[in-house]
Amino acid sequence: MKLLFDLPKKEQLLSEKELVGEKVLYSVPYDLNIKGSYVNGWVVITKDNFIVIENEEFMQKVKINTGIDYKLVNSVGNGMLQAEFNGIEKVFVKVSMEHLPRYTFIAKILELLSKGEIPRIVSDDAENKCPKCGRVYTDGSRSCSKCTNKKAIYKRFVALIKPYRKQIAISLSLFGIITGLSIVNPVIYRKLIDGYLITKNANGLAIFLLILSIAVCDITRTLVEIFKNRLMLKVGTGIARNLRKTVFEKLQSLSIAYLDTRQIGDLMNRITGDTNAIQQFISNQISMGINQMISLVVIAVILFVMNWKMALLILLPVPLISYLWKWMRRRFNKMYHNQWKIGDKANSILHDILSGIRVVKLLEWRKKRLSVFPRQV
Amino acid sequence: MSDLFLILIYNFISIRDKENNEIGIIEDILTFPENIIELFNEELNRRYFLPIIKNIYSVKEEYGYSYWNVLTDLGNKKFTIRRDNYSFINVKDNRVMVIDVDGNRYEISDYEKLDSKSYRLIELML
Repeated sequence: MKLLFDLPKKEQLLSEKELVGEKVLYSVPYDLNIKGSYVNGWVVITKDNFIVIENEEFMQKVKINTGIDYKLVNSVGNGMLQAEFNGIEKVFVKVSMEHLPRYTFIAKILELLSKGEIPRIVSDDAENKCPKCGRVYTDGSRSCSKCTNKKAIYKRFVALIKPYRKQIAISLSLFGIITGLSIVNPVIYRKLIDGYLITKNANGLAIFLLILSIAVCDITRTLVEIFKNRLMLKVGTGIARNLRKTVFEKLQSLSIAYLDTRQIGDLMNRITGDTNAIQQFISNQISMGINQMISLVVIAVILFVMNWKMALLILLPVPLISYLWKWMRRRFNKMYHNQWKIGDKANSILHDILSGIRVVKLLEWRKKRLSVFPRQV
Repeated sequence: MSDLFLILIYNFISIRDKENNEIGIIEDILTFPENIIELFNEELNRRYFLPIIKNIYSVKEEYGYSYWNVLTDLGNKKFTIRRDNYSFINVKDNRVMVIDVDGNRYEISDYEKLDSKSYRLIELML
């Protein structure tokens, strides 16, 4: 846990003015004033004094050894840093739960300084927020999902798929074949309808050959798709297996201190759940994505070759549809998440009811449960 | 002031000394004179911290967390909650408790009394 923050510019100037020539040992933020309202505050500690700065204004300077019994008093949802001066208790700052653990250390530090001792307090607890953007780290992670170097992630991903580059190259070629066959089919249909059915041209052999071509195209496409899916599944499973091995090896090398703070379920999820998600992504999502992209490009090219005006007309609404889709996706995401939450809640309630069903029967709560259950789920 | 807080104020308050030894229990502070009730309120306000959300400016969802920017009765506040069943709890009727990643609690006393924009932002969570 960080106990020496870089002060913002104005606070830095105030600190230099009030603590002339003194070395700052600790500087930490706080977020509540004595009345409990939100503020931007800082406590700056040197060997002999500490100062309190609130909303860019200097509030007070305290000579540490004039007070005794520095402590952090835990209240409901907040804590108070206080000490005793000539028999009277004085509160300096209040902090919400965000800064409570930090101020436990600060109280200890001030207590040691008041006794003339040099504190050697170092906190090993890691911050749970990214110092750069303020986003909360994902549970069990020490890197920010937003600020992490994306290039480094891509490099690691490339290294991960490198042993399967041959299979991936074959898959990509198969994607091309599938897309080509999907596009050839409508062209044959056009030939059949425009050239023979509409004009009532009864050339039996030609019609037969065209129908045969459609069948051959469909069968070939299906066979290639089966082969491609098997290949991608193999690649996805192989990568997931390597990843599981890497994660397992990494877990073995982690410190006991870290492993002590993690739940078994979390670690299990890392090894199995997360790697399975990556496997699914490689086997299904990437395939679908590449397929869609190739189709889009090839169809767009064909459209422009056939009739550029018609192609423009067709592609005109694309930006609007993209924007609408983006907006809808955000909303759907929320809805799916809520659906998952409700399902989870219903399961928990059902678990509670079923595990206590004997009590319900014994106390004749059957009717009550029957009336309440539909509302709860 | 929330209902929960009223319950805390007017029913069974434990009075303790510096060493946390219980001196006695006040059953109902309304039986005390007004100036004493004010003192009680002041002390309780000092100890109990439960901001009431009055207005929600934005709720942004990212990487499994919701980033809230709100106006509370104690000022503007930005906080983050996990997107799980334990961070956004319907307490009773229209009252909601929001718990952030640090364990701070915020209360929405009656979500139907929020302005329409604020309500829309949390509608799908209710």
